Amino acid sequence: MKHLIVDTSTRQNWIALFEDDRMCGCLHFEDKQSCLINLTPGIRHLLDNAGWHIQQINRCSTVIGPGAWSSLRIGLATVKLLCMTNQIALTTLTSSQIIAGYAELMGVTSPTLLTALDAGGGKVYSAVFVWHQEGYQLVGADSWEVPRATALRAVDLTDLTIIGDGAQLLAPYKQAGWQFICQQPQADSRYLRYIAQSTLKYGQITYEHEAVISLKPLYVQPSSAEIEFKVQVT
Amino acid sequence: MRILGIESSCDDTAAAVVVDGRHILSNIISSQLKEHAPFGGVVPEIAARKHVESIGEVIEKALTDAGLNYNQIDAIGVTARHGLLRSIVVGAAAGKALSLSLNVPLVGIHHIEGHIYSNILEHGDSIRFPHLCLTVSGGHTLLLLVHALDHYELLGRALDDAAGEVYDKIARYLDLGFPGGPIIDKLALEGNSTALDLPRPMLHDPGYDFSFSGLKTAVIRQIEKLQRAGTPIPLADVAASFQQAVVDVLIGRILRAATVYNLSTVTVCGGVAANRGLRSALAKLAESHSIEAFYPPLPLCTDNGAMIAGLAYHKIMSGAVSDLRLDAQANAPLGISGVIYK
Ligand SMILES: Nc1ncnc2c1ncn2[C@@H]1O[C@H](COP(=O)(O)OP(=O)(O)OP(=O)(O)O)[C@@H](O)[C@H]1O
Ligand SMILES: [Fe+2]
Repeated sequence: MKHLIVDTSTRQNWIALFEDDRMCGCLHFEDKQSCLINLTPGIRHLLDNAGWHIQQINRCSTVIGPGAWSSLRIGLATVKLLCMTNQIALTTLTSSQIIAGYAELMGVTSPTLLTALDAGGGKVYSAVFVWHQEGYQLVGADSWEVPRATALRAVDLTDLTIIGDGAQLLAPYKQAGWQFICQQPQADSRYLRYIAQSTLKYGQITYEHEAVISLKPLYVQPSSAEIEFKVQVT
Repeated sequence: MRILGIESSCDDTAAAVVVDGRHILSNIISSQLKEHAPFGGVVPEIAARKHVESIGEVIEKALTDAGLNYNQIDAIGVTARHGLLRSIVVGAAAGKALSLSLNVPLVGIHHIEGHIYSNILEHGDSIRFPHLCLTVSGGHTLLLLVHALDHYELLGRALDDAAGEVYDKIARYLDLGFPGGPIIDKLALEGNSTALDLPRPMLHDPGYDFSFSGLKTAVIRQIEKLQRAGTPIPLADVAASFQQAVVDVLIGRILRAATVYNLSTVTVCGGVAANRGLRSALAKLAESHSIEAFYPPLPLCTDNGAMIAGLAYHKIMSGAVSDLRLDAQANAPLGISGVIYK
């Protein structure tokens, strides 16, 4: 299976090609302005190097956020059209799933894992995962709330690892048996293999043609205009 | 040559298929009016979010309406310059992906040039060069001398609010809805255009620039006066008087430029070109001064993909193709002479 992976959810943009488990090419760029400039040429470059044609791709995977708004949109608009024109199935992972993947790569195996992203405005974006046979699996829905609310929901979880740049916001509510990994996991190409494998192993959400067309990124919060407007109205 | 044009520079997600720069096979516009109306104007972040949601559907619909499949598209034209950056990048990313997938040329288009082209798309060779073009939209009021496709000379521009912007602001002030242009235009039909005594800013000044913000203030002052006197606001009269003032200034400037530069072809484009008052004044001007005046049909006045696809054809013919590294720019000079209009 030929697999194209695109992750533009952070300031580090990654593109990779896999043939089943084997990475056939990978590149990344960092400049936050350059996602639009570099993404499509990057995909073409990797395809040319591998001697593949876009029509041979069987699956595309992408990270739908939450993350950097504009580059997420550039990434999603790009993979959407690639998938639509070539009838490629599109698999999406959330940023929370990516952080859980990093935890696995770091050797974390605690029974429960809470991924925590600093969502700005004093809020945390979090998701809970449980260790299941070979890796972490998401349980329940992601949430966006003040740290105290997250901590309250997690209060019954013992032997818990909290990971991500939002972990420090939860530190004041520390319980016995909670471990913290406060930094945002360092990006390196190993996580691309995680994306490729998790798609193969756990079958994250996969969209076929009709559903791909209307896909949108996952936003941490409404736009500030919407928030201000709601405040005015209420 | 069948070109798919994509436009997402502001609040409309649009795609169209045009053959050889002239024949429109489809022209799909997904309006975001509902999303922005509560705010009384376009909110950039909301616009960008909606674009990414709609872009796939709009492109598919443009192909279905044209009766084509992706492999029958020969090139992609996409708005890459001028507008809200976070909106433009969505359409530009989609256009690049299509160019890669279909292995067809990509052309980045300047949005304002697209508006200027809308008259050529509709009227073809009847539009002779050089001609005078008034681009009058939500963001601009520009009077241009069009020497050739891609060669523009700026004669005048709005020094403050654009004409469309003033329509929108007055409508917002009166709580009439958004966008204000079509609403005021409709109201004006029932009103008396001499009911309010309003200025015609800069009409007799030398040069060709415009200034509409003083007119906006004058309208608001008169409304406030009525409010203080406890008189109900005669909305239709306000609309008709305001519209007449705008039209008088626009037509006055066109007439002067056409006379000085000895031009017998005049085009008007952009959202405000949909205005009934302006269209009928233009027709009268044409009749009384032996001028040929053109405006686009309504769907080509506001933002659309057809004008982008149409112009892309000429760019390709002249070898002006972009590569996949095409970037988006919120502001960019216009044409080969690099007209700065902001
Ligand atoms: N019938 C009408 N009468 C007057 N104004 C109108 C009419 N219809 C639309 N408009 C105005 O046209 C504007 C929208 O036009 P358009 O979509 O071309 O502008 P834009 O794309 O936002 O700006 P620009 O092209 O300068 O970037 C709005 O300000 C709207 O009020
Ligand atoms: Fe426009």
